[in-house]
Amino acid sequence: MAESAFGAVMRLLRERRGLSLRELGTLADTDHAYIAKIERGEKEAPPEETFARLARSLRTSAHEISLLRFLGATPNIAPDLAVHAVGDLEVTPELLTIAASTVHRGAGRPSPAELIVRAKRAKRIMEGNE
Amino acid sequence: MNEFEAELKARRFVQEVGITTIPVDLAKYLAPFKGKIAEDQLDDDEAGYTMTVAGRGPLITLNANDREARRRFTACHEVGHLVLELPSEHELGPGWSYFRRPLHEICCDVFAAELLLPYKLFIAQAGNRSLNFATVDELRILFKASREATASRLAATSKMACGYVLSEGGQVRHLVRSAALRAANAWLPPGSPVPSQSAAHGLRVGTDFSGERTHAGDVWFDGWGDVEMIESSIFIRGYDQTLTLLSCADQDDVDAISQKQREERSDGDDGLLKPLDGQLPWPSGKRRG
Repeated sequence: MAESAFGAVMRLLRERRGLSLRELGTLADTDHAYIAKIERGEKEAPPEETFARLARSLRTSAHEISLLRFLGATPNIAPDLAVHAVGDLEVTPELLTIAASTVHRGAGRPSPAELIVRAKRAKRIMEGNE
Repeated sequence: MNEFEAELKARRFVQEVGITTIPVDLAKYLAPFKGKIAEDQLDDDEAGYTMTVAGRGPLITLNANDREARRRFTACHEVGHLVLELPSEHELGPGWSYFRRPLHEICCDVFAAELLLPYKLFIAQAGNRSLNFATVDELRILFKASREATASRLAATSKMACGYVLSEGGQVRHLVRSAALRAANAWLPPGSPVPSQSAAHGLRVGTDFSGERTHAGDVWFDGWGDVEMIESSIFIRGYDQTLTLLSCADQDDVDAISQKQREERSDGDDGLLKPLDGQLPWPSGKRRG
């Protein structure tokens, strides 16, 4: 199974804290094999109670929690776009949805950062602010 | 979804939107979706993209560096994705080439050609004009379309036996045929070499400068030696492409080819049932032992 956006962000947050899968499993009282499967995209986002324990153990910010909840419920977001969103506080679920809706014409593919810039512009134009 | 369905849906869409003037006002195609068109400086390998803002509509962004005709085609192609509800499939190959071009993208191209050069409006303008690149240039200015799209349309909608060949790197990319040429089974396999006796080949290798030539039809099509064919070609050096319009000098020659093919088919009826002659084949008088 391909890596999921939720799993990719979970992995990023775990590695940012310098935790191994076993260490996170111990801290969050969750099977480390289960966490590994989530990260690989072999399991969907966990139920709320487990999610809360993992988020607490990873010391996630409000932005990251909001992002993870959105990614858990929205499977069509590209992992690299989601990972970019972790470091950009301006990226809202709405912007991610707009960026993920992109239909390309041509072989060129913009970077996740460029996609977000475009999504912001698209929002401004469609709301009549540009 | 196939090309034929895409064409039919495009014609219906043009009719529903109510396009009556040329060049076509593209905003009318976006209106049903509450969509907008914008431009941006994009890289050469990106003609445009569409982003949808929930509750608002789609925004089609076009590469400001492209020619107007290409930008218009791109916009219509994106409308094709919206109307046909086909996802993008550009990952398999370069967008500018028909080689390995995914079916979704070909369908959206067919759709775009119909939007940019609507059948009824195109026929009204093309009428009985000569099949050459002077005509193509006049029409493409009227419709603000590319030379390729207009030439392709001109051949496809002609009542005469004619065709448009796009070649790239000395090889045929595709042949667009009029109904009469299709009926006569004229065919060029994609990837086959541009014929060495053609004006297209001459332009490419620098031995022909006019691009106009009248020759036997079998220069381009096998078995067409009895047909006199008029070729009009141009060469686009930057893309190593030749654009060729082929028409038959005398329509009767094409009819003769069709007739000959029918006769050949009827001569080879071995294995088929005999025509009914009113005589029952039984009893045969033979008994099984």
